[in-house]
Amino acid sequence: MIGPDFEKGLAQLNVAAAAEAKKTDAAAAEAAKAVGDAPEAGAP
Amino acid sequence: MHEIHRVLDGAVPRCYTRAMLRKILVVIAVLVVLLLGLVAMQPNTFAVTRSAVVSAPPAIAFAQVNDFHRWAAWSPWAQLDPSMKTTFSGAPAGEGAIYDWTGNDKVGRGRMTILVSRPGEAIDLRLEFIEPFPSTALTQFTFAPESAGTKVTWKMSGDNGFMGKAFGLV
Repeated sequence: MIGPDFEKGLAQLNVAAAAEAKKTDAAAAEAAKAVGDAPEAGAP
Repeated sequence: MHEIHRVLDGAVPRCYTRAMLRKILVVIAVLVVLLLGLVAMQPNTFAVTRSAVVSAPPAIAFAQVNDFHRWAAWSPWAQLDPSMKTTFSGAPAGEGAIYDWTGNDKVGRGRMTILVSRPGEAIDLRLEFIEPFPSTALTQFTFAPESAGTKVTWKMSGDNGFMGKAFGLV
């Protein structure tokens, strides 16, 4: 491991972080939808 | 007469051969001394810095680096040797996390330790190479928010030993 290819590493970090951000956004949207679909308190 | 010719025929080329061999050895010695001098003249320290904008918030970009278990997804070293053996020890992530690796001659053997971890801002690592030759470097990652995501800066610095100086010439 003499020295890393910094540019390649940063480009791959971008791909990994962007994928993780998408997953987080999707999970947040899913959670918001679940909250919106839940019956309000006191509703029959 | 024939005897004299035979002696001269054998003696003259032998003399030339020795003289030529001596000249070649002198040239090689001079080249080696010049090369050693050139290596010795290289800087005693090195520093490499690269930056890129990552399309994710700082907290997410930070998390990819702060946890060694996630390095396989992006580290350029992992691809140099797909059968590289890795061991995780110490803290699960952040300060105190340790990553040992052993692989082919492209990756060698070494250890990384997270020394400082400031969530969403910076990570400092100690990078110890054991094989092919021992050396230590400090690696720093910083994360700064940008409109398009996060500016990640990756810096590696350390002392330049003889082998490091020699590799610097290549």
